[in-house]
Amino acid sequence: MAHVTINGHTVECDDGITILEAARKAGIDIPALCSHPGIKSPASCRLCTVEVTARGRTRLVTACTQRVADGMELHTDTEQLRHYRVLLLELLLSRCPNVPAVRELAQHYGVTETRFESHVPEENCALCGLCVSVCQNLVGAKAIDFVKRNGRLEIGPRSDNGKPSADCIACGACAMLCPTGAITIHGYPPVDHRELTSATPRAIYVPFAQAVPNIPVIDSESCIHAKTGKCGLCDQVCDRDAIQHDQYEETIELDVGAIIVATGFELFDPLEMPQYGYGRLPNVITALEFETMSNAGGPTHGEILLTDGSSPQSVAIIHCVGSRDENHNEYCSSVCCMYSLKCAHLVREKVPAAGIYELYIDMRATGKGYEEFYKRVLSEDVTFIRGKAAEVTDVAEQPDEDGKLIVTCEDTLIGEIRRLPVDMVVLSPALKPRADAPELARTLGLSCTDGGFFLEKHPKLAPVATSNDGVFIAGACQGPKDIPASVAQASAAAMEATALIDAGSVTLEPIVAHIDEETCGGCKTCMNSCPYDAIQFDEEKAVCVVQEVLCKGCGTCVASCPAGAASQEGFEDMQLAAEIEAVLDS
Amino acid sequence: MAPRRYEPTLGDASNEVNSRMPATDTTAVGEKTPSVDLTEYFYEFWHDKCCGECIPCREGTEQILTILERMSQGHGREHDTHELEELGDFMAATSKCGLGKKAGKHLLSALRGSAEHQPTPVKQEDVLSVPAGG
Repeated sequence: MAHVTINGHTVECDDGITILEAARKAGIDIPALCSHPGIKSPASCRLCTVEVTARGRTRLVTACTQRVADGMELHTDTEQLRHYRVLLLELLLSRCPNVPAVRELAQHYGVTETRFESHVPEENCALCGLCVSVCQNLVGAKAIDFVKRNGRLEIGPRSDNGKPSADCIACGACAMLCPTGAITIHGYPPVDHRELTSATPRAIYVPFAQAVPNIPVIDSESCIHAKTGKCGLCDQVCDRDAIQHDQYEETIELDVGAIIVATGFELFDPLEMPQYGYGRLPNVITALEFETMSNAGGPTHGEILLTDGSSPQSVAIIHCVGSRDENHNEYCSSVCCMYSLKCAHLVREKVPAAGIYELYIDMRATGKGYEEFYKRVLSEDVTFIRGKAAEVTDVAEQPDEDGKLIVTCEDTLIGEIRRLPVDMVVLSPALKPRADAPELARTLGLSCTDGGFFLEKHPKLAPVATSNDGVFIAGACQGPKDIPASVAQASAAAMEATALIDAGSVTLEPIVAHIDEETCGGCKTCMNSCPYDAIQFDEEKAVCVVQEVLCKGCGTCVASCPAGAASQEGFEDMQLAAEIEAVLDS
Repeated sequence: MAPRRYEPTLGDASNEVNSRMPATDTTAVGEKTPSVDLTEYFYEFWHDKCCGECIPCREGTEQILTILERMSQGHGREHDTHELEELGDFMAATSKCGLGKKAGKHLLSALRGSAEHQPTPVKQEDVLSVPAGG
C-alpha cells in the first residue's frame, strides 16, 4: 500500500496503480481524453498533467502514466495547471471545434472560444492516439497507426491504397473508445433488424435477462483474445479473477431418477414464404426482431426504427405466418394473436402518429384478460383487416406507394382486395417443434403428434407424463402455448417427477417380457423393435436381456423374435392355446 | 500545413556568407536579420521534425508558426507576443518529449532576448531576437 497526498488529502492506494486511477478512486477528477482503464495510455492529450513533489523535487507529470509511490505529494488543480489546461483546450478547440466532448470539457474550464486559428474546422479527430494504442497493444491487430499524408499527420491504415486495412478485424474497439467520436465502422447499415436478434451485443454478455446462473459468458467468435491472443481487458477489470479463457462447453453425464423434457419450440422461418419478402425487402421483420427493438435495454434503446434509422409512419402486422396454412403448419400457434396485438399496442405507444394495420384470419384471444386487451387495442385506432396477406412487395402502382412496402390482402369483411402502403411489416411466425425433436424423441422413447410436438400419455388424465415412465414433458415442446400455460405445465411436471423420485420405489407392470437365455441367438432384433428401450445386450453371454423395470409388457419383442426366445409372462403360446381351448369348450 | 523549404531574406543580400542558413549547429546571421524571420525559420524546422504524438507540441508548433508567419508578413496582432510567450512556456512544461520541450524553450529564449535588447515597445517585426547559440 502506498500513501500519497492529493490536494492536501492523504489517500491510501494500491502499489503500482497510476496517479489517475488513485485520484479517481479517491473521488478526485482529473480531466483526460486519451486514457481508458486497462489500455496503455498514449499520454498524448497531456490534459491529466499534475504537479508531483517527491524526494524534495517538484515536477509536472501525466497522471495516466506516472505510477504512485509512497510519500508522493500531488496537486491536480493548481493555478498553473488550470492555465495549461485552458491553453490545451484552446488548442484542441482550434483543431476540432465541432466535437461536443471537447466543447463540453472546454466549457468546464470556462473556455468557449479559442484565440487560435482553426485550419480544418470540420476535423473531428484530436489525434490523441487512443485508437492506435488499443489497436496495437490491446487488440493486437495493428491495423491503424499515425501516418503522414500530404504533410498532414492523420490516423489510418499504414498503406495508402484507398482500401480498408487488411489487418482490421472489425472489432470496433477504436470506434467505441474514440473520445471525440471521429471513427465510424463502415459496411453496416444504421439498423440491421436481422442482426439485432442474431448477433451478440458484445463478446462477453449475460445470455439473457434473469438467466440462472446469472453469470456472463464469452462468445469465442467475437472475443478479441480468442482471435489475436491479446486484449484480456476483462481479466484486468475483474477484481475477483473470475475470467477463465480456457473454459469451454463440456458434456456431463448424470444419473437421474426422472427427466423433464422442456426443450421448447423453434420459430417458423419466414424465408419459407418468399411472398412476404422477408430477407429480401428491408423493413420486413419478424415479431421477435420487433420485440428486441422495443426492449428498452435492447440495441435501439426501445426505439422502433427502420433500416435507415428513422421512425416508421405506418406498420402492418401479419398474423399466421406459417400457421393455419396447409402448405406449412396446419395447427394454430396459439400465441401469435396476442403478441401481434402487443406489437400494435407498442407501436401506438412509441410512435403515436403511426398508422397500424392488423391482418388476421380469426382473432383468438382465449385467456384470462386477453379479450379485454383485444378490446383495448381495438380502441387504440388500430385498423383490423380480416384476411390473410397475399404478398408484400415494393413495386409501386400508385404515386403514394413510392418507396413504401405494399401489403396486398383481401378484406373479407368488406369483400375487397386492398393494397396497404406501409413503412414496416411485422410477421408473426408460427411456433414449430425444434428441428432436433425427432432425435430427442428417439433417445427418450417419446412419441410425437402429427405436427412433431411430443405426445403426452393422456391429454386429460396424464397431460405431463409420457408413454415412457419417468420422462415428463412441459411447455411448448408438447404443443404451442404461452408462458402462463408453460409455467403451469412445468410445475405439474416437476411435481410428478418429485413424487416419482420421493416414493423411492416404482410400481412395475404385472405383465413383462422374458427372454430365454438358452434359445436366444443374440440377433438383437428385439432390441431394435422395443419402443421403451427395455432390452439390453449382455456382451458376456451374448444374449438379449429384458430390463423388467422398463418393460411395459407390450409384446412387440415376443412377436419379433425369430428364435421364439421371447415370451410374455402369463401369455406364453401354450397358455394362450389352453385359454382358447377352455373358451371353446365352455 | 505542407512542409516547405524556406529561403529567408537575411538583411544584406550582398553578404554571401550570411545569406545561407544550413540547419547545422552553427548558424551565421547578419545583424539586420529580422528576428521574426529567423525564429520562423527555426520553427519550420521544429514543425517538420515534430512527431505529432502529443497535442502541446503538435498543435503548439503549428499555432506558433501561424503567428510567426503572420508577423513576418507584417500582419501581427496586438496579443501575438503574449500568445507566443504563453505557448512557449506551455510547450516547455507539458510536451511529451525533449524535442517539444526544447521547442518551447527556444521560443521563450527568443522572446527573452527580444525583451533584453528592446526595452521599449517596438514594431512587431522587430520584437524577436536571435537566441544565443541558435
